[in-house]
Amino acid sequence: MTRTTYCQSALVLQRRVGREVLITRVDYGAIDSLAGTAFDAWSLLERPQTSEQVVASLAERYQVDAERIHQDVERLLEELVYRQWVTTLERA
Amino acid sequence: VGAGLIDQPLQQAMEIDPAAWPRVLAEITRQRLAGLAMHAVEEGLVALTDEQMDELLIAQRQQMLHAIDLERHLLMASRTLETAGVDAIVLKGTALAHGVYPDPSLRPFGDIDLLVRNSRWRDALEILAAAGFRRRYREPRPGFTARFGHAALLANDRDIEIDLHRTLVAGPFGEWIQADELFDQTTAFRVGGVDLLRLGNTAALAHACIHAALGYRPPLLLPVRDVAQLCLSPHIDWDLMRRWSCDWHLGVVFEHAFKAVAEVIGSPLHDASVNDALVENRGRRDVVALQAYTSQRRRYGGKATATILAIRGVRAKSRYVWALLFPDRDFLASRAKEGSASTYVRRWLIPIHWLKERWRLVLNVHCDRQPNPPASGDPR
Repeated sequence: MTRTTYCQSALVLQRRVGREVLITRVDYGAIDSLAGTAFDAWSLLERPQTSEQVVASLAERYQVDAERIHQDVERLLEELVYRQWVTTLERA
Repeated sequence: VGAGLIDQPLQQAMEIDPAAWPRVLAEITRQRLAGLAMHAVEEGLVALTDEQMDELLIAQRQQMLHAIDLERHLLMASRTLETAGVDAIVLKGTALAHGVYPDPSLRPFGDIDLLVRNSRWRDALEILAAAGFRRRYREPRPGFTARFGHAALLANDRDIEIDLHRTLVAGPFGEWIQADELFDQTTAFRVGGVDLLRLGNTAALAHACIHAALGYRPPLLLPVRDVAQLCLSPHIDWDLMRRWSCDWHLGVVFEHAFKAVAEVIGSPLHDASVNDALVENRGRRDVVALQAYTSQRRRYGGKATATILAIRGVRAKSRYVWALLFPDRDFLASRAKEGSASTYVRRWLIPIHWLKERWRLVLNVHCDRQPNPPASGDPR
């Protein structure tokens, strides 16, 4: 069985401003911004993480039920992968 | 400026008087210190009201948006140069932000600085011109910068600026520094998945000292922080610094920069013997050259006259003076103030004005030294 891990892409140019991160890359015309819980999730992805690990960390940080945020985290990770801010790795 | 640099006993966090805040924020913005100010707040060294914090965040956001945009252009420019076979060293901002500071968000910058070998400098100009970066200012005569200047300021249609260096500083020290040797003092760093070259920590420290001591009068705070940050970084080769102190006449520059650090941070970062060793071979010429940047003489042609003394060979000196006295017409026109004609006579009045002002400075110093000044009247 393989597990998908997520990690910040090495191609990303980023800067932190308080609890916000500004992100772009050389061939991307705009600068995106992640703030609040998205910023927390982004910070976790400095090292490879499974979606379950991200969910667990955020649930602990915000003292909420993991089930409640699971879908939101999955959607965020999908979006980050789609925008190529995050890369995925399949691990056995 | 020293936030996160040295362990300071945590006393009560500094609060900022709301009446003084607009001026403090304006200075933080002007000196590009928003990242360090944010760090000081996060470390509990400074306490801000919610409103002050919001304004500081806006200031830092602006600086970071610009920095990240510059980095995108840096990657494109360095790829263009690399494809054409021109080696480039990234100087100052980006290099220090990624290679020396613990977090690039602490070190903003306003332009891209690249150093290329003297022999490829003109090629680099053409390559970057083809990529949309044109020279912002004319030179007095064709080839002047390639021989006597330190860099050309290039800009594209979005006002992104690249300072294309052939050496580290304008003026006499630029004449003495053998910039091509710096290509043996590089190290790699990574930005956006791309490997770039920066100066190794020792050469970066030398450059930071040059920037802090000779760049602005009084020194800007961010370059002073750069010097402090590099002083505390690993792998500083003090023997090499001593060699450059002697061979490139930089001892007085290092001393001046370290003094500025001690004044700003509040304590010296290293033993006095380190400073003493750096200036043990300084000569009168070095001190005079330093004063051309750091004293009132800077305003009155100090750098130009000190450069004449530093240029080797009578022919080269003559070429320099000739280019400054008889620049081409386009240069004159570009320098003319709005509504005034550009003439050689106006140009030649500049050194006469310098001489007049410098003579006045000499008289002032002389009068200040009189043990008993006149009882009435202004001797100046």
